[in-house]
Amino acid sequence: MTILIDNKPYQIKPTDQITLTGQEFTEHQLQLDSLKEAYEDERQLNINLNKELPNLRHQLAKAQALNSTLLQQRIKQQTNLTNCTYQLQRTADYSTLADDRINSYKQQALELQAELKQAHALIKQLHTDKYQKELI
Amino acid sequence: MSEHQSLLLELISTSNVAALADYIIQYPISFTELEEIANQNLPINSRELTQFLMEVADTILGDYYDHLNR
Repeated sequence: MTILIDNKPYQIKPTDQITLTGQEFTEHQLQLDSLKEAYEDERQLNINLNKELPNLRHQLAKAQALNSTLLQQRIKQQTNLTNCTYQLQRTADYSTLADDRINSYKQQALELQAELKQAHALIKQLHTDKYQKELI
Repeated sequence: MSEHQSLLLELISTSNVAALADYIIQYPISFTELEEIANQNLPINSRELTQFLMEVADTILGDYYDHLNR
């Protein structure tokens, strides 16, 4: 056991011969009472905590379940958004491909139109030549 | 366009990743809704939009793990 002598801790040995004055005895008695009180408080707190333990465990289980639900919800929304985004990307790609194809068709149409114009001009020329030959 | 889509459009237009992630966790988005929004006059092109949405998707879970590790 450790006691305070002149406010300094001192470890009592079984062989120590201690003589206490009445005042010192009273001080040690008060110190002992204070320690007993602190011990009793600690013991009571422990009892109360033990009583609270099942409730705390229950609350922890509930929090874990809620956490798990929130995580599942986030995973679900993340998967959904990722899928939607991929789908949107594909749509955008198809749209670009379709635009490219339309532009290519427009170009081909312009080329064919030019060829057709040339053919018309040629036919007109041939008709004119034939008419002139007939006149001669 | 619904109120839900208008809010989504605003969050996308302002490139607010965290706010959009928080919103989507509670109010999921469907492809049809997203496609309609993408066809609006957005300040970003389709490639930037998909990159932004992937960032939002990463934040949905990343933010959760950050919160757990705090």
